[in-house]
Amino acid sequence: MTDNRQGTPEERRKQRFFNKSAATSVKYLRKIDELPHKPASLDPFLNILKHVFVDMQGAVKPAGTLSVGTYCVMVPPELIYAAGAMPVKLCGGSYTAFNIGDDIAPRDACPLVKAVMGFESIGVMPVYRECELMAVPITCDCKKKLAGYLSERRKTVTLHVPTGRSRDGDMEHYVKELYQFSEELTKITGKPLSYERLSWACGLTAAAQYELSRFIELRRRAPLVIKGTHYLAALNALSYTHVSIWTQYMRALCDETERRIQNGEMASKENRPRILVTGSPIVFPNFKLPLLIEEMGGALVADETCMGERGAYDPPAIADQTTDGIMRALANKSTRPCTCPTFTDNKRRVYRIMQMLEDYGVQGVIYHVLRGCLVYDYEYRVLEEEMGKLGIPIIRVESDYNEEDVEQLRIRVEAFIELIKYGRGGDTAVRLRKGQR
Amino acid sequence: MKKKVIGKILFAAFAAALCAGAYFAADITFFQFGGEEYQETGAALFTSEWFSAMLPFGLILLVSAVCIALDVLLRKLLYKKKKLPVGKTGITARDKRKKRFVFGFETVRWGVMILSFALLIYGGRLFGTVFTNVQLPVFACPYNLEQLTNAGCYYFSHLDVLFSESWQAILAFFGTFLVCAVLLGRVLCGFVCPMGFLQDVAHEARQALHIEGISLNEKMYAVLRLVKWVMLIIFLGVGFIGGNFCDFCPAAAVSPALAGFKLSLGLGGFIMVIVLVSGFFKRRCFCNVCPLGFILGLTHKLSLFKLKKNAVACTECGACYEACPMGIKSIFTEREGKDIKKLDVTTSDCIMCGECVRRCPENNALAITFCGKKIYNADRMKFMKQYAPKPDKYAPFRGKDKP
Repeated sequence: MTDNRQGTPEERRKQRFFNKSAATSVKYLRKIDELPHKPASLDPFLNILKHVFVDMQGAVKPAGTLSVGTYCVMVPPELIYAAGAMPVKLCGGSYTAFNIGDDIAPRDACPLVKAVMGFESIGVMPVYRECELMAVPITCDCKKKLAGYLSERRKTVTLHVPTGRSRDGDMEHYVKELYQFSEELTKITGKPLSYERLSWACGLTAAAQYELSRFIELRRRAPLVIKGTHYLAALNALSYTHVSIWTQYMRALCDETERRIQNGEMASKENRPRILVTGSPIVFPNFKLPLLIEEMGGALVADETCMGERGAYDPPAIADQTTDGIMRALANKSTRPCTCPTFTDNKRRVYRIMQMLEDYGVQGVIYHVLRGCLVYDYEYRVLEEEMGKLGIPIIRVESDYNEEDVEQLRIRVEAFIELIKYGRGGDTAVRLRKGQR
Repeated sequence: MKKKVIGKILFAAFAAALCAGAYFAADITFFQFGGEEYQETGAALFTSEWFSAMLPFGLILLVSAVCIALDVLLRKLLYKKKKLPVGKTGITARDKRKKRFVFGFETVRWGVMILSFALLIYGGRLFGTVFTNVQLPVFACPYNLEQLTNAGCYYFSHLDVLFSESWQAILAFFGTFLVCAVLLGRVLCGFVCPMGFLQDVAHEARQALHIEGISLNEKMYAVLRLVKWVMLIIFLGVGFIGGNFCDFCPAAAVSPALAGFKLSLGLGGFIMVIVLVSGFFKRRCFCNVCPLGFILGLTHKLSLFKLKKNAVACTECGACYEACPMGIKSIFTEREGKDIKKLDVTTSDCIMCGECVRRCPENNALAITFCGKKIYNADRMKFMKQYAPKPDKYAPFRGKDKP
């Protein structure tokens, strides 16, 4: 018997991983690409996703920039840019990596963390390999254990996020964490903390947030001007791109959107039920839910997820133009406005969603829960109660990182959309948009 | 437990020292000036006489500058080897990037402050004392006879003098005070008071130099509140026991000197140094303990200016609390009420400086209203413009691996 296969079993395993995960990414990229009314200026964003997940290249950045892997929105990118490196958000959405991680993490762990562990254990994705440092905020239990797992293999910094936010001490504690983080960054880049660099980095991200805000304003004016899936893809691309590049792409997208609004070209018909997605993060290539909504005749007008709009939404308000002032502003913006359910008191999330209902004229809310994501699951009840008071239908959708549940999801999403189309919800949304309660 | 007791004893000692200082203030002079006769008119501007009258104020500025420089140097030395330099990095820098100028409430406020500063000090020289019966409740020293109006601080700190006046005068005083308090309230602190203006200038100087300040938290603000009570008791009561608040009022060292009135420096000059130095490191520090401002704030429920919050639009990012020079926390924590979209978050401490609205990144989350009409509204795009460079000045991408 001759073994005519090439390479060691380990190499073949890696090759299989490459092929499988690239195939999934290609499939979802094609689906996103094939959705009608795609703006031309969305292509650069899709190219970034292709660059990272299909061509298996590293993050898109100027040559010679170091990468720092980050895991939640609580890591302020400004600090990393100030140190001369760039942040890469590594929360994984890959089904292939999830299957590998399934053997490492316990059964009930969330698929996002399983995917990250899978990526780490197989160790072939350049986006993961090239990171010099991992920054893991201690948020939910899975992230906590992930930090432990990562620190065994990689240089890892943990950021202890306070669980409450009402006391001043909580925020001051996080400021301390950020100073510690900045020292770790200095160790790898050799660039010490300075006011000039911090201020420059804040300007860099502020430019991106300016364009993002412009886009949000445009979309508030015309929620249907872009498909939500396209928007989610653009924001997912930010995780793997140097912010200066992303800003330019976003600017082009804003300009095109503005033109479209002027010409009255909408991406969906006016009568399509307007849906808001909230809950567990939707990470490329796990785009089944947004794609399903759009395929089933809904219009995804807003998202409140941390790989979507929330990831870059909160700007630092620098009230004191000093090094410490900026550090405080960064700590402030990373913890206080954050709607992550790992905080004990999270009424602001309900308010935030209520505001979004009004801004985008939302008719129904789809609550996305990744299997095992306990903290988001806890908050469903609170939100359901509040939405009940407002008369907005809400549905909880649980999914995992595989394609076996797509058809089940399809039925539920379709039924929900039909419900809005022919039943409740419609008139409430109109009332909300007019500002009457 | 012990620490708390020691703290209380220390605070009591401090309060006692303050009271004793207030009582014996007239005897403590640290700069004696020849010729104590009461001047009727100030010296003409930029003459040698004016410069000599300015001398005490110049000294105050000099001492303050020295204090600040020493503080910065000491901090650099002390915290050089500190492992985690939280708030003490000692980094001072000159930022060459130009900030984008955005016209807004802030610009108007600075305009009004400069104008009122000029009018309160030189107004009488230009127009004569126009409003003779108006006792504007701000710290503009009445030793300066060339102000546009009288300053209300005098009668408040000399209630014994006020009560010996005729009932018409008493009525006029309280009448004008009530009108001012209801119409404007602590807007006077934020826009008109010359002491506030000087502190804001000190704060802006720190912003330009990027020197780290002192960030206060709840506990420290609670201490300041205690100091305020002591100040209030002294302010209202010292006249009855034979003292004179003016002997240790920091404002006495400012506006008369600038207008060219010769006054010796008593304890007031010393306190003015404290006001300037503390105002440099903590924005509007004196306003936090100002007794007159406290009295003005009492009527905030009736005031026509209100701060409104839309709790639904608010993300509770705490930027307003961080920006507030008065440390009002309720503005960021308040979220329940009758109408959560129009919560009244005005407190007796609010000086209506508009900093919270300026730093608010959410559309319509915060607004200053006058008679129920919004005059200053939070706006995300305006907020972003303060930080973001102009689109044509975005950092260009230079690299080869562009996709």
